Amino acid sequence: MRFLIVDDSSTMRRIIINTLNKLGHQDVQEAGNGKEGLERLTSGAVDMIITDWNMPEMSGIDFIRAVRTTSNVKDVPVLMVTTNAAKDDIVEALKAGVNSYVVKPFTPETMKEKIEAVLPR
Amino acid sequence: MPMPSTQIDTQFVNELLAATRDVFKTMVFQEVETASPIAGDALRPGANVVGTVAFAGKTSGIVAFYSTLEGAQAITAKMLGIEPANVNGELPDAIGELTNMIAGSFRTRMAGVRGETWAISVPTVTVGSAWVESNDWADSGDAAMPMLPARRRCAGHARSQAGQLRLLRADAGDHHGQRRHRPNGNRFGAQRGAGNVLHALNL
Repeated sequence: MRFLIVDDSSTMRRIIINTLNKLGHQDVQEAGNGKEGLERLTSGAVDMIITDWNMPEMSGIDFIRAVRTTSNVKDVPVLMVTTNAAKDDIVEALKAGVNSYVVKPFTPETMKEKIEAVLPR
Repeated sequence: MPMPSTQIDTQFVNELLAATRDVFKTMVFQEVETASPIAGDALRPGANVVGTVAFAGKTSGIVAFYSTLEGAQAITAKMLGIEPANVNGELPDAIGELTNMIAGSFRTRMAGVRGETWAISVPTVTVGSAWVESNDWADSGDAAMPMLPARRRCAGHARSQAGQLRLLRADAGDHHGQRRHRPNGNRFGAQRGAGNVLHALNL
């Protein structure tokens, strides 16, 4: 599986990459914000997007909205990883097109469950 | 009713401790050793690395993480899965993310037990020594910490093996029910990085 991680924190990108590696996923691309994420999507296909919410340039929510209106990637599953855990935040993210939601801090087991839950069966 | 300046709100401290333990256990893979909360303005931590996240709502304040440089390097290494000797430029971002997760988890817990909705700032990290004290940040127009309370109280702190975590709080009656503000998709406040929080460190 090919993953795209979009997060302005290099630490979080590394933590998520380490987690994915532990789960057996080695093909991972990175982007520092939503704008960069969209550029990565034009240069190669991915099977799943993992994105932060609060980022400079383009937020995770705006990024997801853009993904959902871009024909060749609009159906790619999106997992949001964030500290925003309020009910209103989760509703907003789901409305924007997020498939599932991981609240930081998280365990590899949680990440595995969330990834498996949004994969096409 | 406002609390006397030396009174500790145990619910704040307990939830902060729980958030800190959770973040350290899941992201740093290390248990946190705790000590008794310290009331009032006692004890200025001798730290070289400080991460802060401000929060504002019915209650406003700052969550600040203090650490020695060696402690911060060890934490960064654990988070990234590398050797401490190989930690270099990653340290500010890692400590910022650590503080952000603690503050975010703390906010979630407080929303659960008190129903309060807080806005929180982006994390700010200062690495260095020989900081200058200042009391005039509240009127300085310093954009780095726009929501810091003018009257602040130390409610308590948690101590980890590598550093300390301190919570500053003050009642802010004008911010009831404030929703998170996201200009440009971000939270209010300063950028992640060094050099923005000197004024906030005067405990």
